[in-house]
Order: sequence, then structure tokens, then C-alpha cells
Amino acid sequence: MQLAVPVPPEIEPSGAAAGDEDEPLVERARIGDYVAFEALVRKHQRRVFAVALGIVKNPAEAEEVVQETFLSAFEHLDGFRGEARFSTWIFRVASNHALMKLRKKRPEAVGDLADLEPSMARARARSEGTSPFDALTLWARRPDEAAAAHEVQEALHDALAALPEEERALLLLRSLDDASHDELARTFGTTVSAVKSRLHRTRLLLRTLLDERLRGKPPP
Amino acid sequence: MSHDDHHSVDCGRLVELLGEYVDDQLPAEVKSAVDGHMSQCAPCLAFLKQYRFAPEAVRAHLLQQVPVDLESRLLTFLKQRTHK
Repeated sequence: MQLAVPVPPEIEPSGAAAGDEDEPLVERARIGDYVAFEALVRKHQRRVFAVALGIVKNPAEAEEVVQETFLSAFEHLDGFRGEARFSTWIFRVASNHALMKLRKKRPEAVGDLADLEPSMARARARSEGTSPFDALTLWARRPDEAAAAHEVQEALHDALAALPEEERALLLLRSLDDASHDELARTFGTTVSAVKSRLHRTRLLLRTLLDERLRGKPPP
Repeated sequence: MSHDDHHSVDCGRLVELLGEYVDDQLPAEVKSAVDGHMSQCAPCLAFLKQYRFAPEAVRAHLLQQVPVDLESRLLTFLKQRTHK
């Protein structure tokens, strides 16, 4: 059975990917080397799960997305033309599977930054009033501890959920794949300047949402 | 985007430039102006730390939730589905 990989041709990358370290494994997998395919799965599965979880927010559904993503990759590896890095391609396939799963459940809830205008207005505010002693600044000094702390995890969960789906996917691909602006522009079918602008607004919004949720909750 | 000709950066302008600053996309003279401003402005430096921290925390938060046996379950699933 041929699955429809949710990477529409019009947003597929069109420029050559320079220095993709996965290229030898992809080439071997493409000619039927299953060991090479498993090596690609092992290498990327954790971050693919993280991208999926960031979008669907449910661990069981995120695991289904991971399964669907790598099955699609196996069946459509011929369609990967090596014009973007393999990791960027696989993360985009995962984010599309995750977005499709979300929209099956809530077709109306696509979301837009404009829906968050009150928060955006606060996010656009100047840095005046920000303090080295704000709870968020104090947590930022201890990032490992912060990510494990219950109050920060709750704040991150709420803040992520508040972001529009497409912006969340863009932020996750940038954070988890370290995709370049150019790669993101090609895979999302937009311009580099639009990617920069959307990423910046999303980071500002995320900072504001975390600041609001962590206010009065500094590290112990 | 265009940058100030005289490369002066106030608190409001700094917030606009943060995306390109953290992604290392600013021209050297503008980056230098941002660095200069931040060395003298505690609120902006704190804001930068928060701005940088937010996506890093998201990344760490999501990776911490990866099931320890995800890889083995996934490889078993894929083998079953691809070796029919």
C-alpha cells in the first residue's frame, strides 16, 4: 500500500542540501539496505517523537505519529530527492502527520497568531521592566534544573498549547533540528524573511507566556 | 531587513533585533551595537536570557518525555509492517 506522505510537492525543498551527514545511510536505505534504514530510525526517533509530542501533546498519539512517519519514510524514500537534509525532511513529514491528526480531532482549531493579539501586544512590549530577578530569568540560569521542575513543565505545557499549530511546528523544527531559515522557508513554502519574522514573533510570544505563568514561582 | 544607519540601539529596537541576534544573522556593526547596549542595560540582558531560554526549555521538556522503550517498540513495529 502506498501511503500519501503529507509533504505536498509545492513545498518540497528545491535547492541542494549541502553536507547532509545522513546521505550515505539514505543512499544505502534507498537501495534496500534495511540495516541502514534502521540506523536512520535510531538516530532520529527521539527528536521525531519530541516534534510530534509538541504538536499533538498526547504521548500515545505522538508515538503513533512516529510510527506513521517512519513507515511513510520507508515507503517513499525514493521521493526524497536529497535536496534538503534528511532530518529536515523527516521532521517536516512528522509535523504534517501530527497536524493532520490534530485536525481530524479538531478541524476548526488551526489557530493564528492574530488570535493571540492581547498576548502578542504584551510580547511586543519593550524589555523595560524585565529584571535579572524575575522568576523566568532565574530559571533561565539553571536550564537543566528548569526543564525537570514541575512548575516549569506545567508552564511549558500551557505555553506550547497556546501557540498556533503552524507556528509551533516551525519553532519545533528550528529548536529540535536546528534547521536553517532557508531550509525552513523551502519546507514550509514561504520566504526566508517570513520565517525569520514568524520565528521571532513566536519566540517573543513563548517568552511572554512563560513569564506570565512562572511569575511568583522562582527556583527554590 | 534594514538596520539603523547609525547603529544606535535603544531598548525597543533591541527587542526587534533579538531574533537575528540569537540566530547570528546581524551585520557585525549592528551586533556590536546590540552587545554594547546590553552591557549597560540590565533589563535588556535579562530579556535576552529569557528569550533564549524559552525555546531551549521547550526542547529539553519534550525530549525528557521520550519513552525509554520507544526505539525498541518502533523497530518492532516497522519490521512487522515492512517485512510482510
